[in-house]
Amino acid sequence: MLCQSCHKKQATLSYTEIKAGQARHRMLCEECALSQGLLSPMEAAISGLSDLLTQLMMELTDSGPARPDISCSRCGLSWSQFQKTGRLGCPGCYRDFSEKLEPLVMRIQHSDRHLGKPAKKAAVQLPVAGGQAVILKRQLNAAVEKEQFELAATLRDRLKVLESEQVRSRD
Amino acid sequence: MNPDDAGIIGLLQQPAGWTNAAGREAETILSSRVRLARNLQNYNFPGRCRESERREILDFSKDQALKVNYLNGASFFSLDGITKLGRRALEERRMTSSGPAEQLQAGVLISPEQNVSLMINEEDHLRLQSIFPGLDLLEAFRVADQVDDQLQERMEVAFSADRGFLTVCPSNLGTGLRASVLMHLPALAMSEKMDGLMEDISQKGIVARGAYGEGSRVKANLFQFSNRTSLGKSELEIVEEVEQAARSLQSEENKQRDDLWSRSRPELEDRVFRARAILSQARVLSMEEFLSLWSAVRLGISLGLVTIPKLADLNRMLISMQPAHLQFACDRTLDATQEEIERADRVRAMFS
Ligand SMILES: [Zn+2]
Ligand SMILES: [Zn+2]
Repeated sequence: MLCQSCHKKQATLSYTEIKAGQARHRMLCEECALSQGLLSPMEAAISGLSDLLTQLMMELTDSGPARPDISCSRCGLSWSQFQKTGRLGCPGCYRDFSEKLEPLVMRIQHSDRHLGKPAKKAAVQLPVAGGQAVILKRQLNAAVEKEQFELAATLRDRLKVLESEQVRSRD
Repeated sequence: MNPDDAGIIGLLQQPAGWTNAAGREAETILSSRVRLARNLQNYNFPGRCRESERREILDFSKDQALKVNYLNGASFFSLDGITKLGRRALEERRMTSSGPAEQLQAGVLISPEQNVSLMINEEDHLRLQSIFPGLDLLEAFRVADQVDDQLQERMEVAFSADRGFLTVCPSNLGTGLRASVLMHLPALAMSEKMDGLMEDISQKGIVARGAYGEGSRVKANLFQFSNRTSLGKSELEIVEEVEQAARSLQSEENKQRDDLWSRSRPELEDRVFRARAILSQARVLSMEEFLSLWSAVRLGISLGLVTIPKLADLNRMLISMQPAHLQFACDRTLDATQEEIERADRVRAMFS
């Protein structure tokens, strides 16, 4: 059930209040319980309220919508989608959302500078996303050129399946 | 048992490395764990990949990881290939997290000693974990760091000079490091000092949470402490901060134990011996009751009141008495009552 104080979050704690000899049961979410002094700091700490993800989600809720909404040019994720989940879509999101992300990262991490180890240069040749689609297209062109129409039809079907998966994962 | 889970049985029969109770300070600190989050530069994050791309990531990362130290000879489990029960057993071992379970093309590699694991296509492309018994965060970090270096020689990871390793959630940004210790604090949890201590360590940037039990109900007095932020500090600084917090909590816990021993020894002994009596005689035992008695007996072992079972056996029971492990151990599906009877039988056997 929903919290009986904010009517927004899921209630996870139940309280019995005694007022003027009358017992009253209330279901509250942890934030409300904490703000009303019903949770001790220890209980709040161990309920995970102090972790970064929780804080991130609260910051995101407060940060207001981007007008107009912006999207990542690489993966298509919109800022409003990110606000709902707290999850970015690809490494490119950090670049395309940098203006909105910067103050957010600063508030939750208390820093905007990496001081840990640097990345290593990979020595191995890497696969590229969509590699399979690229290879299929190349094979398809070759098949058409060689007039291998049956093979071309099979390859076209497989490409369609790949592309429909892409559409599904984008919505 | 479901044939899909055949591969898991062997894993479950071996004790998890972190339960050894061999490390330093094992009486209060059960394990030290380091986790590094990494993503491949050339792919969208798992939640925004096509299934075929996730397949590529899984196959590629698995092949590469099997060539690096600690993970050569690792067992691989496809998380969509095993049953829900199998996945639960891996969570009970703390080898995987209870992430998005329905996500397809996810898997985990587990080293032969079960101290290093690599989750693929969970929230991030790669989540490398290294876990050691007792207080040994530095060693856990050294191992994870070495595996990470070798992995990075084989794959280009998403990284920016300013922001470090790029992660799905900005809360893991930078080092991608989460260092945590699992602590048993029965004496502190009874005392009034606990609230103040939790506030102190929270101010030092350490997050506390109950290791078992949801919300604000901590079971077995088991707490997990980890770093709150992952950016703006070096890996060693982060590890050092968590280690220091663990040491100070440990010394507070020991002080509290001494205090209890000198002030209220009869009550303390009563608590320990009653718990041992129930565990060695019970015929039906819920997980909840087991955990709370487990805590008292564990305290009794470190006070020298209980000699059987040993600390390591008790640590192992924390895993082996959980629901999925019990079902695998007796090789059949158990309803709630059968599970509690089975647990009682197995716990009794450990006390004789
Ligand atoms: Zn509320
Ligand atoms: Zn993106």
